[in-house]
Amino acid sequence: MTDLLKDQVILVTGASSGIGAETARQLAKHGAFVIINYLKNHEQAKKVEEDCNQTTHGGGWCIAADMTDAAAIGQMVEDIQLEFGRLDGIVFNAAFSYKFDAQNRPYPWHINWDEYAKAQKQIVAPLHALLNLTLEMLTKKEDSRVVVVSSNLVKRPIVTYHTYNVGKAALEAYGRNMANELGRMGVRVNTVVPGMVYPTKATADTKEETKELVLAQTPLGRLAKAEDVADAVLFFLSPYSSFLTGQSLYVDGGLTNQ
Amino acid sequence: MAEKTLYSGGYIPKDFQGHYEEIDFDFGDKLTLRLPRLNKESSRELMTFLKARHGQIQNLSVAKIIEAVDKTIKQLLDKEHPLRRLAQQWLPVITGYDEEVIRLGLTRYLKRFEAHQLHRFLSADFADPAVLEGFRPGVSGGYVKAQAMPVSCHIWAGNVPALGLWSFISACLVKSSSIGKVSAAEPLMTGLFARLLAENEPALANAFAVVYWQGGEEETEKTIYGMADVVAAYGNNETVEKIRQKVPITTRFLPYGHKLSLSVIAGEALDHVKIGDTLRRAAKDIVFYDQQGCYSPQVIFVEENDAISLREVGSMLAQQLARDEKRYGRRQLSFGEESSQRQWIGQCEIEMMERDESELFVSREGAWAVFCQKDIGRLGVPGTLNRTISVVSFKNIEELSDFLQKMRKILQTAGLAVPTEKLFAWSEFLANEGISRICGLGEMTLPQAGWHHDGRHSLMDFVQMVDLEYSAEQQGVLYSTTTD
Amino acid sequence: MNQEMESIKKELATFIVQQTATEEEYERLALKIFANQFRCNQPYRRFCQQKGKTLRTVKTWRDIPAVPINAFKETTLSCIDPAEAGAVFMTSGTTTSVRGKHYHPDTEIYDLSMKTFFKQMVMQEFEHIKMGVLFPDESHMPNSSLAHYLEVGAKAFGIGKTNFYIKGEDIDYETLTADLKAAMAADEPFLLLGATYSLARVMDYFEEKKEKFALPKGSRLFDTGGFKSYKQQMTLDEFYDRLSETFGVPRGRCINMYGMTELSTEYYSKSSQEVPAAMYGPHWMRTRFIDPLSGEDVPKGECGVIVHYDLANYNSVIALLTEDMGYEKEDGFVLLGRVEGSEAKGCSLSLEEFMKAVGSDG
Repeated sequence: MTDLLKDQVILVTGASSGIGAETARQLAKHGAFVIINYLKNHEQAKKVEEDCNQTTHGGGWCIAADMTDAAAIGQMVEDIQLEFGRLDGIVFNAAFSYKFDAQNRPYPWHINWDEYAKAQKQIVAPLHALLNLTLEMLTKKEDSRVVVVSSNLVKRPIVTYHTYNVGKAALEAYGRNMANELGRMGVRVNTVVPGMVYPTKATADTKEETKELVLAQTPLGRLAKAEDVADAVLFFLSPYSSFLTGQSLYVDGGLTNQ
Repeated sequence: MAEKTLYSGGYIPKDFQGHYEEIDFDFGDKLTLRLPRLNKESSRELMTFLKARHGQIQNLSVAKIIEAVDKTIKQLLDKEHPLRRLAQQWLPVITGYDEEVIRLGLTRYLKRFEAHQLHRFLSADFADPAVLEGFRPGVSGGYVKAQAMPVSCHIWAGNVPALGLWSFISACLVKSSSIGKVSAAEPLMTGLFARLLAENEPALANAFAVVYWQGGEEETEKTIYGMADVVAAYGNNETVEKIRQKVPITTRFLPYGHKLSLSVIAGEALDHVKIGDTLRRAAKDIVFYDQQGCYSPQVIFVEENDAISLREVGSMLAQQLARDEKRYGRRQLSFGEESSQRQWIGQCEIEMMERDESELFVSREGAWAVFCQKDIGRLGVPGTLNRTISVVSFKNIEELSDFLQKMRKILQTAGLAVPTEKLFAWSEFLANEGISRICGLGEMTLPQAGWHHDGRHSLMDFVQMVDLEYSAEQQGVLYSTTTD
Repeated sequence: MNQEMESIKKELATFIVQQTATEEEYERLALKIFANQFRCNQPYRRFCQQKGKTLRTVKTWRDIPAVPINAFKETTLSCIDPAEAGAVFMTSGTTTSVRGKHYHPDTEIYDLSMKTFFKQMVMQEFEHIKMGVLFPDESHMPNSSLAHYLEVGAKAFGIGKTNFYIKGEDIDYETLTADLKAAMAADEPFLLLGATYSLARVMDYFEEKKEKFALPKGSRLFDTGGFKSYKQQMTLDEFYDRLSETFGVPRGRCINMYGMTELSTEYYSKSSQEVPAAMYGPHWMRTRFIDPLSGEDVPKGECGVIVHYDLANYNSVIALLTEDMGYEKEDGFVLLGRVEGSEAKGCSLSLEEFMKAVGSDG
């Protein structure tokens, strides 16, 4: 489509399906070589890889790694170093498997603090590990980019998935802190904040009443599609955002507009 | 397309009647700079003229000269003055340097020559500047006078804009007439200054000439060097050596050839709060005039510390250079310069093929390059100018010795970011190794007024000290008609 | 040599003897050789990775990272264990004390490359020709690629015994004169090959002796290497005029060869009628002219730094970044010689001045 990301190597975590997969395809279309990280679903990841390789200049390569396992992340980064020798950007999209069940979600007074701690460990710790390991590659050149995918439930907990929302809030704070720290090292860190995206694996079972609840309050009157999110990610990876860091872009049809 | 501008530069003494040729320097399709060009005949005539009129400047008081220079500088500092605007318009075209670098560089440089600073020049070289006006009592009896060398010859380099002003004003301050040859690389600024100065003080209007002659023109050069009392030559060693061969042994020769400058950053300057500022200063020394000045660093020595690794320092410096490139773009390089840089980068890459701990940061377009090296013993060619630099780590001050000793003859400036507690230890060490100027990091490209360029006396070199000894005074008493 | 190397070598041999190669064929073999060099040669792999060039990101032969030729001096560029190299060619040690080493598993590919293209560019219509060589023979210069090259040429294409006229510092003018006269007497074409500076010396000698030759029709002259230490520089036109006059061979039959120890293939001019003449390489070679900093190709016909891609360098590295500049001309290129580094305008040190100032020899 364009050469916006030609010759650039970009890692997308959690890229075998949903937002991650769509982002990977979108980046490849714009010339990027996408490293498709996935947890288990090899078939699907392979499919994304194929799609990426179908593009004119872009390419794809899928690699399995459990993002909650520091050793696995280490191995993946080593492989990237060997296979590519460079890394220009990261889209941090991996989320732990949270069951989005609005009807049966627990009340906070029923949640043990360990659950909150676990959520943060699964949401934020992987990004921390990943950045530490890839920093050498990222700071090797000018204008490397990290895009963190969060959720608009942080800003407006329209459905109170407590542990998840608090975890994502920590993730956003982490991203903003890193933006300030890494700015001088040539790395931009921005956040894309989608609203409810349908259909994805996480929302496949979402009841219509919940969807309607969200839809009713969304100025643009529909739910987000994975493509909508991928577009925003592309913007943060592209030179069109070269003077932006520490920013959040809400892709929720205006739901959180105040 | 806008028409090409023709500007007549240089300066010929007001009352000089002799004939001389002219030469045009073209800068792209924008500017033609026309300068007086000397040959054998015109150089003899002009030198004779300057010698004959030396009395005029000789009779002027230093105070008057300071006043005139100060007035001229103030005019050039005035952003609305037509000549300041002219300089700001054309210097970027002539030199290729970024407009902002020229604007800022020119202002801070010119400020070095305001009246109060000129007094500093005088005190740096003369305990009692009144020796320039006549005989003054000496400390060990007798009297002493600083007698101006009648005509000083300057051969300027064009690496940094307006660089010629330093020696031109120095000679002027001590009442020496000047003949200066501008470089084809920057033929504008000194002539412009001379013209304005002559207007401001008519008594100086016959005290100098700012001209051009072709380097290597045997007869012209021999005439000028033969008739001058001092020859100051700036440039690369080869150029300076060629000039030296033509200067008679009886003429004072001031060679300003190749130099190597460096920076030192102590661990104390690298904590989480200070590192940003420290590296901004380090980069400023590199970015201003693309290291074309002899005082610009080619290597930065970084003290090993617990806070941050050499690689991280190098990476952050590289990013600072990248930001500065956006703010102050590097000038367009010639094919030869680009190739030099490519070769230097190649040399770094080869070094890295064998060693893991070295690391090279290079901008996409090659607008800057930082090479980090842990092993000081392997430090080869530290940089190849135009924003290329080696960053090398050290544990103890002594580790620098081998490198500095190898470079001893060409060492000049050291820019330091070290705490007070270590400042004098560092200064003693560097002075001992052959460094002649120590300044704060970020100030390397702006020597302070009174700077002893390459360790020499800027003003003293243009005078001859005359001793009137006590014995003469004593005997004078003997013969005095008023003696009883 | 491992299996992959054996397979590459075999494929390469076929590739060299085929008449020509399509871009796709060249690409495929270049990438295959690169992949092997990337895997087997650790310093080279490090070099590539540092540039972000790996097996995945190198997609065309143009992406293959070119190594600065100085690397041959400071590191080992070889897929095989250098101890097992059948031949080591070394750069001359004139300007630096360190000599570059080019390891070859054996000289089969080197020789095949030499013979194949030499036949086409120098021998042309002849299968064999009487030769004389103004260069020491291989036994006196065991690590010289040029000595080996000339020896291979003499063996493959010479008639009878080929004389090598240079012994140490001396030129055996007697034998040379005798050979030239014998060729004239027999009316058999003669091929005189030699280093440019030796030919210059020989011309001086014959001029002093007031001796001229009129070599028989079909004879040709071959020079290589440039003037180097020859006392008197002359223009190329003067050189070829004198050469033609001294030996009675038209300038159109004077051929210049350009080779480097770091390569396994040579370039030739087709004639010296016009100088500087365009140089040509065979189909297993590509030449690029790049902007020194961006590394991009310069517009066709403009001056750039020369990068060689020589597939016959299957053991070392196929892509070489030189310090020479040149430009594309007709289907070949014109070599302009070493890029003169820039002189700094003022008193700061440029790279070359730095070397001079500190008396460094490297």
